[in-house]
Amino acid sequence: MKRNYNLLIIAACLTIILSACSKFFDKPPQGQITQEEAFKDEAGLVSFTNGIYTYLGDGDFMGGRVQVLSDILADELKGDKFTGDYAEIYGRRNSIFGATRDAMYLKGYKIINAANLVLENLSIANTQKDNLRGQALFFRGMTHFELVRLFAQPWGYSPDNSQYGIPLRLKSGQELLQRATVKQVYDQVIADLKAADSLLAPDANSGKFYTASKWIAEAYLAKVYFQMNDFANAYKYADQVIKSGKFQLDADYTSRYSVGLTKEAILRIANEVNHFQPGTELIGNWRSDKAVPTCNFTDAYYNNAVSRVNDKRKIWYSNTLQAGYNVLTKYNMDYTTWSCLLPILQK
Amino acid sequence: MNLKRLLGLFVLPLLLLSLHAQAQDKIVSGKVTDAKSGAPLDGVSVIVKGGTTGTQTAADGTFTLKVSAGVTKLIISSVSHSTREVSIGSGGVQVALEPTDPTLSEVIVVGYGVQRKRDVTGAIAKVKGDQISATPVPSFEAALQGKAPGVQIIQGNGLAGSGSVVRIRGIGSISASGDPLYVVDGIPVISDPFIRSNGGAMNQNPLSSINPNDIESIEILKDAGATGIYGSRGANGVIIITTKRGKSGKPSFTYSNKLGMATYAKKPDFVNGPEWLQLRQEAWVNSGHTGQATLPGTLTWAQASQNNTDWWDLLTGTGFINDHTLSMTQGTKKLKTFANLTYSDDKGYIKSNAYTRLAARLNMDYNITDKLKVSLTSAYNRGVNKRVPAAWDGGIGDAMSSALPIFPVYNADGSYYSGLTNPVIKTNENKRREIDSRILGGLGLEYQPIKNLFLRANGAIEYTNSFADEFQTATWNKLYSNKTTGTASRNPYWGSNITANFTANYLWNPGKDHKFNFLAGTEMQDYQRKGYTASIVKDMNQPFWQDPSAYRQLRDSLKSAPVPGISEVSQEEFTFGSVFGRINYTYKDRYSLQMIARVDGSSKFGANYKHGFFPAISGAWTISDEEFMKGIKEINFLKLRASYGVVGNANIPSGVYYDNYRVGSNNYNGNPTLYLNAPGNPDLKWETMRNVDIALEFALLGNRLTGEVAYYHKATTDILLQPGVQPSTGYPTIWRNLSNSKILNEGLEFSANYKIIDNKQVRWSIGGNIAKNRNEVLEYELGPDAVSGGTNDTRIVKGLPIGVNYLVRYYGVDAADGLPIWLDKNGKQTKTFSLDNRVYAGSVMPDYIGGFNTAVSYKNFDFSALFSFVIGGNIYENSAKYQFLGVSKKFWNFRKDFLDRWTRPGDDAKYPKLVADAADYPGVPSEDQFNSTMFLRSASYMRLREMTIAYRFTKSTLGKLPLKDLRLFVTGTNLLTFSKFPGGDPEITRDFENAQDRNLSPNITYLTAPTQKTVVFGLTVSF
Repeated sequence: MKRNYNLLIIAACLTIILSACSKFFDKPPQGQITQEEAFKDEAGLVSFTNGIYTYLGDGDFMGGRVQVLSDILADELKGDKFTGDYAEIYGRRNSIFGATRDAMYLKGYKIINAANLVLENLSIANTQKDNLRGQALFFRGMTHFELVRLFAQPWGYSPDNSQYGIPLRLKSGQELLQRATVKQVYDQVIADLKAADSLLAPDANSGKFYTASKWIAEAYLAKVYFQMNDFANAYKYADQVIKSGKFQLDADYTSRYSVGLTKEAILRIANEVNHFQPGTELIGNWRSDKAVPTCNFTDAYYNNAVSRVNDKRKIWYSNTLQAGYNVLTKYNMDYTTWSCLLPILQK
Repeated sequence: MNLKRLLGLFVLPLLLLSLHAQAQDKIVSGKVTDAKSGAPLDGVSVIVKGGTTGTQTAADGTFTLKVSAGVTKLIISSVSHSTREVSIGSGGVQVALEPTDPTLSEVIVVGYGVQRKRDVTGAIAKVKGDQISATPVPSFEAALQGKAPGVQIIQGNGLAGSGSVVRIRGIGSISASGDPLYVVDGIPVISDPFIRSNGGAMNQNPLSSINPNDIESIEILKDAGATGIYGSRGANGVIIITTKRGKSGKPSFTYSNKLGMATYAKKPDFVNGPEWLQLRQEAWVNSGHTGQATLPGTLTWAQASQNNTDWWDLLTGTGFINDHTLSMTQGTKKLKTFANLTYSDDKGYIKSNAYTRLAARLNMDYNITDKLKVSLTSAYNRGVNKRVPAAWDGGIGDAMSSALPIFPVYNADGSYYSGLTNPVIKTNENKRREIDSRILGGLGLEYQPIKNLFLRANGAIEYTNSFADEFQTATWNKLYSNKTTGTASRNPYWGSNITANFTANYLWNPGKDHKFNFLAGTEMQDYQRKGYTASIVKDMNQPFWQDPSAYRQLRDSLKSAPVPGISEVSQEEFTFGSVFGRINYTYKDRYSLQMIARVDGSSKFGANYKHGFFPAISGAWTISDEEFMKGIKEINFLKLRASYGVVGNANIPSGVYYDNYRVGSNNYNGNPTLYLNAPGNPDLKWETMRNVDIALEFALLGNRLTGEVAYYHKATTDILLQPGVQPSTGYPTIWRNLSNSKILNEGLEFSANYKIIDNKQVRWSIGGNIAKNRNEVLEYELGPDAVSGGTNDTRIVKGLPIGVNYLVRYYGVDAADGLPIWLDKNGKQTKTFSLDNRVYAGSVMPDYIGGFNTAVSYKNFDFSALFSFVIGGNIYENSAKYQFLGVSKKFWNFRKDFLDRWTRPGDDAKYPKLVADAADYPGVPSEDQFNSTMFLRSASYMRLREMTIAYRFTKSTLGKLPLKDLRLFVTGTNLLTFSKFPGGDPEITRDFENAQDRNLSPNITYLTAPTQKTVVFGLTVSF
C-alpha cells in the first residue's frame, strides 16, 4: 500500500512536468516582444517606422558613414594618416574584408527590410495607412539609391545600364538574391520615390520635418535624376521643392547644427539628447577641438575653400586649431549639445 | 547577510552537538591506522558484528562506541581499505587496515548519485578538492590544468578573477558555446563570463565566486556513458563540483592561509623611446620619404626625444595574495556539519586590479529517523572584482600597443598629457568594480519507505546579484567631455536559478550474482535574470560603491519619475524540464551494464522541436576478476569499458527561435520606437552528438602502476550556426541548425601513475597524462569565408579542423630589396601580396595536451611538482602584425624580436624592411589585412604549473600544543615556462564575448595580459 502511494507521487510528478510543458517551455525573448505583440495595431507600425529614422541617422549609415566614405573617395582629404579600412578605401584597395564598409551596407539593408516589413503589415493600419506606406517606400527607394551609388558602377557605365547593381530587396525574408542590374535598381528607386511623393503629406511634424514629407521624396527624385544626367527632371523636382516655400537658407551658419534652429533641412533626424544621437560618425571623424581628427583636408582643398572672400562657409575651416592640420570646425560640439540634426538633405 | 547571522550559522551546529549524549552499556574505544604508512584513518566505519550499532573514526583515527555488554566483535571497514573483523579485548582496539587500490575503490559522483570507481562504465576524471584549493589561481577551473586527461584548460590571461577556456575532448560546435555544463551540488550554474557582453577581457567570470576551499571533489564527465544523464546538455562534457560535508567525529577546526606575491609569467619586450624614433626614421626612409619622419598627433621630434616612458612599468607592480580559511567539521550518527569561512584577496600584478572573495558555507546532514534524512546545502559568496581595462580596452593593452615610449605621461605643470594614448589616465581616473553576490540554499530529503528503495527530493535556489560599477573622476570628465564633476554609473542584474528534482532509486539483488540499480527521476530548472535597460548614471564625485545610498535613491526614484531609456527589464529566462532514467546491472561483480535515457524539454528549443530524446548505453568488464586471470600476479586490476550514446548541446541563446522585436530604449522625436532584432526560427534545436568511448583501466605490479587508456569518437551533427546568411537580408544573424553538417573529434587519452618508492619513510611517485585530439569538419556546405572566428582570423573549411588559420604564406625576405616574398596558392613565389593566396596554414587546436607530476615525501617533508604542456597547434599573433608595423603610420610599440629585419642589400633577415605604410609592401591593402604566416607561431609549450614544498609537524614536535595537525608549505605557480613563442606568455585566450569566436579562435592573441606567476607561503592547522 505504502509502495503504491509512492508510485502515485512519481506519477503525479511526471504528469505535472509533462502536462505543464507547453507553458513552461515557452519563454519568449525576455525584455523583447514577439511579432504578434509588435504589430498588433497601427501604433506598433508607427513606432517601428520611427525606429527606421534612427537607423537612417545612425553613425553606420547617413549619420556619418555614407558621407565620410564618400569624402574619402573624393580628393579633398589627406590620406597619409589613414589606417585600416579607411586606408584601403582611400587607396582604392578594398579587400574582401572591411567591417566599416560592411556595416554600412548591412545598415542600409536593415532599413530596406524594415521598410518591407511595414509594407507587408499595412493591413493593421487604418488612418495612417497612406502615410506609413509613403514613408516605407521613401526609405526603400532612397536606401537602394544610396547603396547602388556606392556599390556598383554608376549610371551610364554601359549604354543600357545592364551592369550589376545591388540585390533588390522588395520583400522581407531570407531568400537568396542575385544582384539586380543598375537599371532595374534605378527603375525601382524612381517607382518607390514617385509613389512616396504621391502618398506623403506636404507638411511633416508641423514644419519641423523630423519625418518624411512629399518634399524629401521629391528632393531625392531630383538627386536620382541628377545622377542619371536627366537634368530636366532633376530641375523639375528641385524646383518644386524650392517653390514649396517650406525651406529657407539660414542667415547664420553657426546656428546650422544647433537644436531646432535651421530652416534648411528637408528631412532631419531628431536628436534625443542622451538617448539617441544621430550623426555620431560626423563628430567622430571631424571634430577638431579635442584632438587631431581622423579626417583633415589637403592643402589644395583648404586654400581653395578659404580663398573666396564672400564665402560664409570659410568660418568652418581652420589650420591653426591643430598645428599642421587643415581641419573642419563645424562639428566641434558634444554629442549631447550638438544638436539636432542630421540634415539628410538640405536646400 | 550580516555578520551576526553568519556567526549564528556557525554557532548553531555546535549547540546541536552538545545535545547529543546518551547512556550506555559498555564503552569500546580504539584507533584505526593505515597498515602501510601508519597514518590515522578518519571516516572508517566501525560496526558491531551482526548489529546496526556503529560509528565512524575521527580525524585522528580514534573512535569510541557504546555497545551492549554481550558484544565481542567489530567490523571495521572503509572504502579505501580492506575490511577487517576484530575482537574486543580488554584494552583499546588497535586496528591497522591494508589499503586497497585507492583509485579503484574511490567513490565517483556520476550525476544524481555516486558509484564505486570499479563499477563506473563512463569516462570520468576526478580531481580532489585539495588539488584545487592548494593552487593560487584566479578562479578554481584554472587549477584543473594538466590534471585530467583530455581536458584542455587555457587560463589565458593574468587578470584577477578571470576565467579560462575549458574544452573537454575537443570542440564540435561553431556558433553554440563549446563550454561544458557546470553542476554545483546538483545545480546547473551559469558560467558565461560575458553576461554583460564584453567588459574588457574575461574578468567577469561568474565561476570565480565559487570558493575553491569549499570543493570536496570535481568530477569531469567526458563521454556519453557519463554525460548521457544530462541529455541535451551533455555534449561538451559536464563538470560536477561537489562541496564538502561534515565528517564523523568530534568538532574539528582547520585554519589555513596563503600569503604571497604575484607577477607575470612572461612578457613581450618592446624597444624604448630613442630606439623607436630611430626605427621610425628607418621606416620613413625605406618608404622613399626624405627629411624627418612624421610623428603621431602634433608631437614634434624635439618633444618626442625628451620622453622615454616605460608604460608597462607604470601600470604593473608586484601583486599580493592573501587568503584565509577557517572550517569546521563535525559528525555524529544524527548530525553532520561542515562550515567554512573564507576571505581571500588576489591583487594581481596589474596596478589597481584585485579580486576579493568573501565566502561562507554551511552544509548539514541530519537523520530524522533511520529512514528519513534531510540535508542542507547553503552558501554565500561575495566577489569584488576591481577590474582594470586590458587588451583592446586599453590599460596594459595600451602599454603593448598605442602608448608609445615617446609619449609623455604628464605635462610640465603636472597635469595629465591627454593628447595621445595615455593608459595611466584610464587606470587612475576611470575606476571599475564588479560586485557579485551569490546566495545558495538547497534542501534535500531522502526517504527509505522500504528496504532498498530511496526516494530523494532536492530543491535549490541560487540567487545572484551583480553590480558593474564604473566611476569617471572629475579629472577624467574635464579631459574628455565638458562636465566638471565625476560620473558614477552602475549596471545591476539580479537573477535566480531554481532547480528541483525528484528521484527514485531501487536496488534489487535477485540472487547472489545479479545486482540491479534502477533510477528514475524528473528535474526542472528555471533561470531568470533581470536588470535595467541601461546603466544608472549620476554626475557625482564618488563612485556608487562608496555611496550606495545615492544609488538606491536614484534607483527608487525611477519608479516615481521614470527616465526615458532606463527601465527594469527581464534580460533572460530559460527553462529545462526533464525525465530521465538509469539502469545499472552487474553480473558476478565483474560485468556491468548501464542504460541511460533522458528526455529534455527546454524553452531554448524552437516550437517544432520542444523535446529531445537522448539515450546512452555503456558497459564494463573487470577482466582481472576472471578465473583465468587469477594466476597473473602482475595484474591487479584490469577493466575494459565501452559506451555509446547520443547527447546534445543546448547552448542556444534564450528566446532566439521567436521573431524578436524590441521596444526602443530611445524615443524618436518624442515618440516610441520599435525594432526587429532578428527573425526567429521555429525549427531551432540542439546539436546532436554521437559518441563512442572505449577504454582500458589497469592496476599493475602490486597496484603500483595504475592508469587508463581511452579512445573516443565524437560526431556532432545539426551544427548550430548564426552567420553565413546573405547580408542583404538585413538580418544575417538568424540562428539555425545547418543541414548536412558534421564535425568529428576523435582521440586517444593515456594517464598513468607509478609509485617508485612506497614505504613508511619515503614515498615517491610519478604520474602524468597525455591526450591527442583529431578534429575534422566532415560535412559542411558553406565556403571558407562564410564563417570566421575572431576578427577574420580563422575559418571553417570542409576536411580540415575547425578554426583553421587561413593565411597568405610568407616565404622570406628578398635580400636584394628587403621586400617580403609570399607564396601564391600553388606555392610559387611572388612579391605581390594578395588575399586570394590564402591557404590552410595552421590550426589553433593543439595535437597533444597533458601534464605530468611527481610527488616525493620523506619523513615529514613532501614535495610535489606539476608540469603542463601543449604540443602542436598554432598561435596567431593578431596584434604582432601591428607591433611589427609599429613604426609605420599605425604607430604602435615595436617588439624587440622584430629587430631581426632587413636593413641593407644582402641582409639575411627574418623580417622584411620596415616601411612607413603597410601598403608600401606591394599588394597589401592595409595593415589590417597584413595577415600572413609571418605571425603564425607554434603553440607548443611546457610550464612548471605548480610546485609545492611542505613540512608537516609530528604529534611529538607539536608537544603539548592543543593542535592535531600543523603543516607549512610554499607553493608556486607558473614558475617556469618553456616555449619558442616570441610574444610573451604562450598560454592565451582572447576575450571573445562571442561563443563562436571562442570556439574557432581560442588562442589568437590580441594584447593579452600574460598569466600570473605566483609564490605563496601558507600554513594549515587543525585543532
